[in-house]
Amino acid sequence: MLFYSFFKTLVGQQVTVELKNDLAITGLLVSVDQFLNIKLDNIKVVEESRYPHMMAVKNCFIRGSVVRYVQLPAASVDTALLQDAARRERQQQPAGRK
Amino acid sequence: MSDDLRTYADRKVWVFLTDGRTLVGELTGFDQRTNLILTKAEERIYSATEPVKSVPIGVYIIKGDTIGIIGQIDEELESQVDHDNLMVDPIEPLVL
Repeated sequence: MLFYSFFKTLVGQQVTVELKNDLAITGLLVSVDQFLNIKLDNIKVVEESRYPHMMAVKNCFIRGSVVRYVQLPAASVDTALLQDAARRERQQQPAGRK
Repeated sequence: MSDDLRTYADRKVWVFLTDGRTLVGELTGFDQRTNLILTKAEERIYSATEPVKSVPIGVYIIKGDTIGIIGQIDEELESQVDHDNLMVDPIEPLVL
């Protein structure tokens, strides 16, 4: 749930989503859901000459299961807060689950 | 939720599957697991040595776990794409 909440705070930011086949798509983050499916608007494929397949596509839905990385603008990530939230979530988990 | 797909309902979409295939069609149905129903569907076959080939396949039901990308096709941009002269390797499959 933490990463879902985290990605929700990034809605409206410019991000680059790299898929497991090395295809990378840049665009405005429109929405994220609980499966970390990502919706982007105004997309641009990185290395467009190699991947002209999506020329006529302006916005897309990327299934969370095929995402390898999401590149984020560093300025919009509060790492201290994220670390703290991760620790707190760990503490809330029932004992024995490590 | 996959409510996100609601904005694509009844629109023409470009779908990339994890096995590397590309389909185009009208999104007539979907659910929260991203299972899709495409009507007036066609498979787009890309090749570096031949122009893009479109093979009509009718109605297609696609299981959600094989979906990679769903893109909304902008009809205006689509009409500008010269598919008869587009020769390009297919996108690599998404090995899971």
